[in-house]
Amino acid sequence: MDLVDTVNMKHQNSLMTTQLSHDFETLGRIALAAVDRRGVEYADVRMTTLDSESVSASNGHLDGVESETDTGFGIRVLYRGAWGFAASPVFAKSEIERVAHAALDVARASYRLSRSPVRLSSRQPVVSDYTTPLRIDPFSVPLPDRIALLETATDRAATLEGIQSASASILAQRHTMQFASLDGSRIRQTIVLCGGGLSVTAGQKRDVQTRSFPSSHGGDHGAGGYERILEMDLPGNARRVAEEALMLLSAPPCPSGAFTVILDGDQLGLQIHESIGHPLELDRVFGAEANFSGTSFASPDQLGSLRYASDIVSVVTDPTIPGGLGSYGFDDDGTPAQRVELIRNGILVGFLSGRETASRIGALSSANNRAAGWRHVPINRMSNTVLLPGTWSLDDLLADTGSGLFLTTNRSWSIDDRRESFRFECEAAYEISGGKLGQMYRNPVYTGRTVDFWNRCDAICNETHFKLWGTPNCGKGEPSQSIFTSQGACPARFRNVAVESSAGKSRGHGGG
Amino acid sequence: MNAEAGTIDRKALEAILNLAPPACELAVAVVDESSRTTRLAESVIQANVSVRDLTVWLELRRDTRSTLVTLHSLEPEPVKAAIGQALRILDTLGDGDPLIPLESAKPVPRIDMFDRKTDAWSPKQAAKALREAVRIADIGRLSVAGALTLTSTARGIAHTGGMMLTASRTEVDLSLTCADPSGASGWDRAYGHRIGDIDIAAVAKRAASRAIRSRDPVELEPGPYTVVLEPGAVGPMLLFLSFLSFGGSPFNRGTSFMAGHIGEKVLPDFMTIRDDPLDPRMGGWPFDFEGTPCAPVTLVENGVARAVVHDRTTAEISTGHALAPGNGFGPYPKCMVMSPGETSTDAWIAGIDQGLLITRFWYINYVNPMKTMITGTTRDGTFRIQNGKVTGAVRNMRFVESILEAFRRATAVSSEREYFRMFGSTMRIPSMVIPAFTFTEVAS
Repeated sequence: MDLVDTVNMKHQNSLMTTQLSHDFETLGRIALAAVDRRGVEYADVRMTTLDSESVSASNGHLDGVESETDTGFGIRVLYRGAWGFAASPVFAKSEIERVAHAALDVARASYRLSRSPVRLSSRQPVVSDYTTPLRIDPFSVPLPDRIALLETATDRAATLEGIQSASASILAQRHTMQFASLDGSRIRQTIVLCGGGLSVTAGQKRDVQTRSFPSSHGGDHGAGGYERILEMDLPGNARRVAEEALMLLSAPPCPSGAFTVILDGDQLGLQIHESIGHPLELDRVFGAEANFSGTSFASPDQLGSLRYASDIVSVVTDPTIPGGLGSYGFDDDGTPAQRVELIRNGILVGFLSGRETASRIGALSSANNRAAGWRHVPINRMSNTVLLPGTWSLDDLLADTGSGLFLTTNRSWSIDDRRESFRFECEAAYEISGGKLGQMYRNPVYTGRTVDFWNRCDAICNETHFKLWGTPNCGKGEPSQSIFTSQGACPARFRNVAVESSAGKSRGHGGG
Repeated sequence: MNAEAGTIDRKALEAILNLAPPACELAVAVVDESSRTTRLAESVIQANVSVRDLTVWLELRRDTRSTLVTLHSLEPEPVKAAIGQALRILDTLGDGDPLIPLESAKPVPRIDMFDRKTDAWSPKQAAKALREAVRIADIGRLSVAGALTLTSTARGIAHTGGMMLTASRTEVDLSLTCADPSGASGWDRAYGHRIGDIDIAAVAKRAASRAIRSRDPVELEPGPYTVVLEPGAVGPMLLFLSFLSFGGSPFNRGTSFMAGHIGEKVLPDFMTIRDDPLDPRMGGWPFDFEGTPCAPVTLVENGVARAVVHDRTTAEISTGHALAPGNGFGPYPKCMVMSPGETSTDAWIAGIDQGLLITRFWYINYVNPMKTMITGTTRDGTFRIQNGKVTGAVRNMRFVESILEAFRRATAVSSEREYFRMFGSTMRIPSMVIPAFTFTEVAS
């Protein structure tokens, strides 16, 4: 599969197809009129509505059904090169005008400390809309069906002897996002997200092991409909996941040493997120997160020269790929989604940017300026960060590897504030012996230094193993914003990786 | 139009309760928050935001069924739609276990937590005040990043069983990081419920001083070191310990180190930890999200385990620690105060031959929650102690430690304490001296 050719989305760039709501037309007109011709160089208004429904169950019984509706608007103003932003959930003409004036007042206050004015990279005004492609609207699936699926899955897992608890959940969200800017853009997006997962814990009190499916930390989520849940087949996988949790309980600790390691796609997804995505957020590179999320070891002067990874590693940011938590038509600057290279054959060639940060390196925005809803200002965020597939089938890669470790499903992680180093724990490791998966180990941990680690990558599985893994809780910014991203990954091999058991070191047999 | 920010309109709550369908109980929780954040980066205002936020949780209950619907409006039509949605969900559900009865109305303590001056503080005033931080950074040839956030919050709890409570508070949170082009950085922060509690210049000076002292760091071999943890490092450890052990859920599950050991010695004699939501500077509330009055709880007294905190799902008698509906986390203390020692941090440093002074920990995550084992890195101020003096900067290092074991090894806490805010919790904490603290790698 050529990802670019098969997944690029066509935007409907026609005024006739763009259906902004009547309320938003009014809101946008009032808001933009309130700040226009008052020294303002640029302004935009966003109105977002989130409809969310979550269902959770444990041990065969429903835990709860929760639903949420969240509507509000935010107005962003660039006044003499300084930003202001204000937002409110209250839709009244007086409140819209108050918020618009507040945004302008805030921008004027920002101007008092301005040293060099903010410049925005160019983009053409856009009138367009975008809708997530899906087969089954998750909100149309009867609640009893969703409840029954979760109760069945958790019951099948929980009834195995030795299982402490089994829990599962399904989340459905619809984000309706409308955008209007002073320079003429009018955009409406309807993004539907759906996902879920199963988590099974074996053991008692302080001696427990957990196995998750299809991924940990709440499961796997992406853009699309209820077909995502059906494809997961949580009931059909429940017993296997429970058995694996029980096997982990009696499995030996992961051996320590330098190993050849194959990272499964879900763990590699988080590795990409933390050690490629975050360091390449351009606002972070410039110090916007110096007080909170941190900075980056990467810098613009390394473009074209930094050997970030081995020459088989190429990474792109691509919100046009359907099915990801970072799949969208436009970012919150109104820039059309596009595929942008970040690492080409191991060399750093791009950053994740918005209009403001892109202008500082003389580039166009990569369409990565995103806000976590109406109440937040857009900042540089990941969309779908994709490690392009290689050529190996997993069976061939295991056979070629001979001996080593296969690590799957993240359990915990920690990264330094410059993203120079990392420590990841997984739920399970499997010995690779004789070219096949063998003994299961518990509590595996691997550590490394970012650039050194990525230069140890010598094989990537092919596109038949490709999947976008969702991260529904990426935190950044002050006030803190939690946003959805995805990482595209296939299993990949890394040589000479430091591995140990989180419960303490035990002697390993190398293989590195 | 909704209630004005800073207060909850009781009539609006009554109007919602009047919409309860027949044979149903309805519980309402409302948080109306107005926040102004001025964010610095590269010594200029990088973002400046003013946000009014309103969250309304509706719990609809009938017989043994209940459901939670969240919305962000007090307008009649959205509220009616939300109650309709809740009713449709209730009709779908099967019968469950008997519901815990709604809390009965009880007198709640009065706390003066709302400061009008803070509520009225403008972005212009914030910019003017932060100019002093920029000036201090400029003197040291440093850039400054950070955020000053002023928040006015009103909370209302009501239910059809006769509950009607409202309260308001203000709070101010400031953190600053100074840095030079080499990457040397220093951090400091302050928290209070009034703008008058915050000395921006003092915070900037401490951050700048740490940044200057962080220049030219040396790389040390990983291994065990005696550490002096400043409040920015003690705070995250205490907070993670509270997640794991000081709440009713882990206590009842038996995973808390306190479980089965109430009345027993669990920490050093000099450690007393209380939760004090009634201290206005701790950012607490007079009542929790179930409407139970809040009260101080002594968690550990002179090293002896005394109690954990509860809501009405974890104990028959709640201590007033219910979090927002639907949190899925269970109660934990959010206003922890650790008693001070008798000797200053500087005096403890003077007594250390070889060690490290740690300003702040970063990116803490669990290694083995059952053993309170965590990992993280140092950041924005890691210094070497030699022969009783702080002699220079050290490259950041990763640690892997059991919080409980580290606290048990602690030999002292300082006489000075600071307010520390993290993940919505406030702590008032001293510095702590811990021998043989384990560092595993150089991080950055």
